[in-house]
Amino acid sequence: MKTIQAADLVPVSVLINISRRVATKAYMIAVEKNVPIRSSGEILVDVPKITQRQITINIKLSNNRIAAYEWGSGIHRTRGTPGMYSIDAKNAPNLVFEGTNEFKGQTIITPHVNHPGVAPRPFLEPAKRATRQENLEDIRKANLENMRLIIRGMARKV
Amino acid sequence: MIDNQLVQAALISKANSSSIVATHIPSGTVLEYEFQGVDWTYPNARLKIDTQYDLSDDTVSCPAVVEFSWYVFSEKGTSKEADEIAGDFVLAFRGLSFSANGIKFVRVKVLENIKAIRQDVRTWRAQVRCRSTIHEI
Repeated sequence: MKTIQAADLVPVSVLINISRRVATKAYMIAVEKNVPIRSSGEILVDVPKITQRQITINIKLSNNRIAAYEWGSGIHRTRGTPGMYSIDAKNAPNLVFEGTNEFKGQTIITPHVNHPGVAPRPFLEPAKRATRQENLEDIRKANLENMRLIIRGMARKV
Repeated sequence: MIDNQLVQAALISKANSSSIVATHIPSGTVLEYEFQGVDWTYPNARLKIDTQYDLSDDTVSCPAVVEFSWYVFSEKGTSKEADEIAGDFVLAFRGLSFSANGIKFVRVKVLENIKAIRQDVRTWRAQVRCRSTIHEI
C-alpha cells in the first residue's frame, strides 16, 4: 500500500509561498512601526524540515536586535524575566552619548548605565494574524486538490 | 533501510559526475547540506536527505523510499542563475535509474522544482525535491 506523505497533500512550494507571504507582511508592519530593519532580507524563510507526517518551515530574524522589538527587551520584555541591562564602560573611563527624553539636548558622560531595553513593537505575530485566512485557504485548496488526485490514482489501481 | 550517509554519498557522486549538472557548476562542488568547510564559492549546490522510510509496512529491510532535496545557492542579482541550475538538476535526475555506492536508485521522481527565494540579503536559494525507491545491490 502506498504511503501518503504530508508533502503529497500540501506541497512544500505552497508552504514556502505562505512563509514568504508572512515574512513580507512582517517586513511591511515592521517598517510601519519604525522597527530598525534595513531590508526584507532580514526576515528569512528557513530551509524546510520534511518528515513523513510534518513539514516545518521556520521564519528567522537575521539578528537579535530585531527580535528585541518583537517581544520587547529589558524591563519591557514579554518573554522571560524583565530587568534592566547593566552596562559598564570597558575600553574607556566613561560612556558618552546624547541624552533622550528628559535629558534631550544634553551629552551624558557616565561610567555606568542601567538600560531599560525597548518596548515591544510586534510585527511577526500581527503578520501571522493578518495573513491567516489567505494561508489557510491555500492549504485547504492544495489539500483538496491533491487528495482528489490521490483517491483517483488509488481507484484506478482497484 | 539504508544508512543515510551511504545514500547521500551515492547521490553526491552521481551529481558530481553528471555532465548536465556540470554545465553551470564545476564538477566536485556538489556537497552535503551540512558541509562545514570554509571554502564556499557561488554558485553551488547542496544535498539534504529529507526522509527515508520503508516502501511498505511489511518490508523487513529493502526496498525503501528516500526523499531528498537539491538546494542551489547563487549570489547573482536575480534568481535566474539559481533557477537555471535547479533546472539542470531536474533534467539530470528526472526518471533516472542508476547504481552507486552499492545502492540501486529506481526511477528518481522529481516532486517539486521550487522557485528560488531569498536565503538572505545576498543569496538566492532554489530547491528541487526528489523521491526514489532504493535497495542494496
